[in-house]
Amino acid sequence: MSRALVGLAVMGAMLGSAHAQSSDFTREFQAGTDAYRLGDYAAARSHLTRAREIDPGLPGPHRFLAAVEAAEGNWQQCVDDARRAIVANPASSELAATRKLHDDCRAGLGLPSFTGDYADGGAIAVSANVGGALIRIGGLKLGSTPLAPRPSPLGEVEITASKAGWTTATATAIVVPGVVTDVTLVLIAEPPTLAVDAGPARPEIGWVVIEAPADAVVSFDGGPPVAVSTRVELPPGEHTLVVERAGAIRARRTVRVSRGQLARVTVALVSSATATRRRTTGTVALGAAAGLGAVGVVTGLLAMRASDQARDWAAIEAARPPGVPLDDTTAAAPLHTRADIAARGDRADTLAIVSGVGYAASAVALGLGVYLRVRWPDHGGLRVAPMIGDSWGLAVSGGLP
Amino acid sequence: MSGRGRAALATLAVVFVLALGGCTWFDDGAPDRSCRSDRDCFRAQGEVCDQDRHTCVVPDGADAGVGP
Repeated sequence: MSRALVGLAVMGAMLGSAHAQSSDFTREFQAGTDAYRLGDYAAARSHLTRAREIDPGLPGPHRFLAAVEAAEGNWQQCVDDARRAIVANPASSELAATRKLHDDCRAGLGLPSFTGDYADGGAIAVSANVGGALIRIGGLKLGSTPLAPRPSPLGEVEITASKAGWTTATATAIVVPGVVTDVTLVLIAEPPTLAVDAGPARPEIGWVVIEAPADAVVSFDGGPPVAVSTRVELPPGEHTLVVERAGAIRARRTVRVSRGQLARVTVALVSSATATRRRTTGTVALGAAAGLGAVGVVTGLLAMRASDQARDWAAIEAARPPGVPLDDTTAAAPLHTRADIAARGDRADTLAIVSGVGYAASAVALGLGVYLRVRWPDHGGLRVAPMIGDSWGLAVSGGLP
Repeated sequence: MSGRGRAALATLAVVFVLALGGCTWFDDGAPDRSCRSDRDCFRAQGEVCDQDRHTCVVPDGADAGVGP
């Protein structure tokens, strides 16, 4: 078979080519065919390769190289060279022999043959490294891997293979008339995906960090001591924070903990001596407020009394009968002139001013005393912070004892 | 006395003081010489009501001495 094929191929290659053949090509090609006939496949491959390099468009070198590869059992190279020969001249008179050579080499690769009718087209077979991958050719679903040879129109086609867990592989192939075009796709396993919970659970706790002197003892809701400056997990809601330290007033705070939120509370402890001084000052201020208030009350009463007297005197003088000698009436009601009444009115005004000043000073002292006495050192100042969690708003802590 | 009792007493004291202060503040003060008729003036001391100025005055020459 091989010799007959060689003879036909040489003649076809020499006579059927429309290309102008150079002397170098002819010499190399002839040497290659001769070597092939003599069974010197290495020399044949060398000459034919050079001939193909001189004119890649001529089918003869491809066809003989396919024959050389077939003789040495290099089936894939045989198929490739045979396809090149067919593409180089699809109308070659050696086409039938070349197709047979192609089919034989495919059989050598263990590939299934095409049993249908090529008609004017070709055929295509698809395989992949993964079985069961969905094959689309030109966008049409045609089966799964391995896809047996099936008729296909000529020309370029796009083939895709897809399978869950694998990346989709795409390739293009040129379907050659009268033979099976084999396409092998390689699918790559997709990397394992990281499972991300689309709806993460709401945190059920919050955290608090207490900033206080290192030797302070910190506790929540009467529980065991916790370390200073460390994150403490607490359930959402209000918690009573107590910070104690030797020589300092115990500090107490109301801390609101929200879900998933970190609250930082800084506690500045007040020494006992400072607190004592503050309370003493507050007591003095409250006493001063009481004294000044008493001054305001007494002087106020005196002012009202003087004012009443002035009005009484004026009423008496207006009622004193004009036709009666004054000596007769002064025994019943002492005489008061306009000057006396005006002096008493001035005295009432002065006392009223003193009373007002006393009230004002008392109010100031009262405020100071209340601030120093009622605002205990361990209450701390107001803390306002935005709150995100169960509800939106502001969290206020430290406002009440 | 309990804390609540002290608070109530302190509240009452503050209310009393504020009321007293209000009385002092809004007191009418001493009367002046304004008048609408002679009856509003010290007639025994010789004052009459000047109807033009509505003020109690002692007319010139009037023997309205206040001495005994």
